[in-house]
Amino acid sequence: MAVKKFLKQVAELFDLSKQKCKDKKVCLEEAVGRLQARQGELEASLAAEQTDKQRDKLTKQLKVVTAKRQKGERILQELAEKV
Amino acid sequence: MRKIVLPLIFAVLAYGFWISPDFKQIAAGVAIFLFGMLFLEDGFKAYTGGVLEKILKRTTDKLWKSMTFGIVSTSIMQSSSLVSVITISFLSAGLIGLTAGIGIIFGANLGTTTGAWLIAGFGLKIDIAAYAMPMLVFGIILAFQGSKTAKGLGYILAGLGFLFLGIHHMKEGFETFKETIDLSQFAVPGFAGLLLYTGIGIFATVVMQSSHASLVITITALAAGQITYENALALAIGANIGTCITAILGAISANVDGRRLAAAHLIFNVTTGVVAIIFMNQILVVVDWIAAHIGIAADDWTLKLSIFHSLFNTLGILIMVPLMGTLVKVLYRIFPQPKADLVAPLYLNEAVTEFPDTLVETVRKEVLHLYDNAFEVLAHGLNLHRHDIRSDADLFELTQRPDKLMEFDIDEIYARKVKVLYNAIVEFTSRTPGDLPQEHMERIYVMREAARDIVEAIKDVKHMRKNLITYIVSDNSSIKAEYNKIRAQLGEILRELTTLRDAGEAADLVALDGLRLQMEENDVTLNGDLDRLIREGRITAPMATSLMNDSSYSYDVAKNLIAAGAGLFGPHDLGMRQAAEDIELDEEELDQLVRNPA
Repeated sequence: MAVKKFLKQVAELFDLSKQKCKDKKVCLEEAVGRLQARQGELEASLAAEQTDKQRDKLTKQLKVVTAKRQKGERILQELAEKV
Repeated sequence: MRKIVLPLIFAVLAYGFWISPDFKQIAAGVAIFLFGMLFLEDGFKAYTGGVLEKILKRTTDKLWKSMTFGIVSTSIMQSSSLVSVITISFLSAGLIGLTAGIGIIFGANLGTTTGAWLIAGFGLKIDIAAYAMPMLVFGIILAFQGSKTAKGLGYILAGLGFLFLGIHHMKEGFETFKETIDLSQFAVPGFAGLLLYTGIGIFATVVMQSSHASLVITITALAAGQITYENALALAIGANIGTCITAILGAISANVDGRRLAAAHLIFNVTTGVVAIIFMNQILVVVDWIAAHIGIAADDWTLKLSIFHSLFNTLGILIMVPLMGTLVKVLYRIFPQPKADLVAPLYLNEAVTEFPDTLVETVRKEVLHLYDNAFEVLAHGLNLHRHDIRSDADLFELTQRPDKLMEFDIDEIYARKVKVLYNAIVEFTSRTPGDLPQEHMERIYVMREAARDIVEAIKDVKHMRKNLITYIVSDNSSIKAEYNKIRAQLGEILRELTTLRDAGEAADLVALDGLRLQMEENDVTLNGDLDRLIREGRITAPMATSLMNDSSYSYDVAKNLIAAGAGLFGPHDLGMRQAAEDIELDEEELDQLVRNPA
């Protein structure tokens, strides 16, 4: 475990981990994945939220995050079709 | 001064070359050696775009770690000057603290002593010129390669090759020189000699800007018997003091922290030198004792010089480390922080331009500095208190309460606190080196755009403010309510940006997405409200046109602030930033989202 942690630190030092996103598709997939996760978090927060003001705020965020995720998926699909 | 000194040095050298071919060989050896140092520094700089800076960032949280970094990096790179310059640039960029910086400089002083060991231990005892040639050939071939890593390695190899070649020529020069003239007859014994040769060591190092080069000359001359052991020790002390010149020159273009560090370097080296001079006899006893115990012959003067060099630098560290706290306090007193009015750039300085990561971070910090100043102008421009924005209080409620108008000259504060920084950022980023990696270039461009967005937002608030200060104290409650709504909405954006700023690397831009939608909704709502207010006769036509204009300004302020937030707090990775931009919703898509809420 310690070795793995050490290797990870070394990889970070040499920027290897940051180079994972080398092409557009990989970057988009990662961005869409993050939005998907964020969408889930926002939905959970919204379900738990009681105040109208906070609910309104979260709803707006959720709308944009969902729309962005859908847009990202559309772009990914277009990329796949081109290939 | 330079106009006199430089021709004088040229004249002395030319005369020396004319009367002695051996002197010519020694001088050429020094020149080749210094050329090698330049190559070596350039080679290591090829790696400063990431690895070196990351290591530096992570290994400076404790004093012993900073010192170890200084020792190890200087031992590897054989250049305390490069380590000093990197440290000054990091300190100037606010990436490390003064104590960590001083720790690195102390360590670098000890690290530089490994050079003496290498030269005395290997350089003089083996035919290093035989190694120099293949190193030069391989190095130059690699230096012509396109890859940055290969190029860097090539420069390092060629640098080492030139260093070895330089040492070889110096050694040869001194060897044959002693057949024609015995320099040791000019040896000055006693305390006077100690002071005189320390002065010569300082002068030689200041001229060559390399203590390493001074040490090599000293060691080769000592090995050839051209100077006495006693005088060589004084030269080593002088070289140590003279090396501060590089840090001092580096600090001229640095900010106050850089100057503090250069001063610490000078204090450390002068103190160490003075202690070495005062306790010379005692140190020499210890040197003899160590030499005897590690198997160095009593007449191996060059290795004994190396022991002395390491010993007095260690002594310096032992003396200065307990005084570190006092030293830092004194430095803060001698070089006080500029007044908190923050009208000058805090981070931008020439010392950072050679290191890409530091350069980007410096620009980012300066833009954040600009944002902090702009925050005051924007908040007060909207007649909001900064503490209210930073609090959890409901801004819509806060804007309803009767409030006094904040009297301030927005033009004057903008010119003094924002424009001056914006000018500096634009000027600084325009002068970024052309060979900067693409990713770094992009990030600097994004930061500059963020600064422009912030400035644009202020200009729009300035336009809005004329009507805003009239209507928020108006007797007409309808127009007052509309302007208060604008204030609260923009206050919310400032609040979110403050949260993002405080979150650092953990910033979550989803909040900005929500605000973008809010902004679009407000625009639509306001258009509807406006017609209703006019129709019902609750606001006059001049009020309506003012509100229409200011609604447009408010939309632009929000758009610019959100764009600045995305630039400043968005992903650092170029690919991820591009992906984020690709999936960003444009105005039409947002508008559609507002109109079709389902």
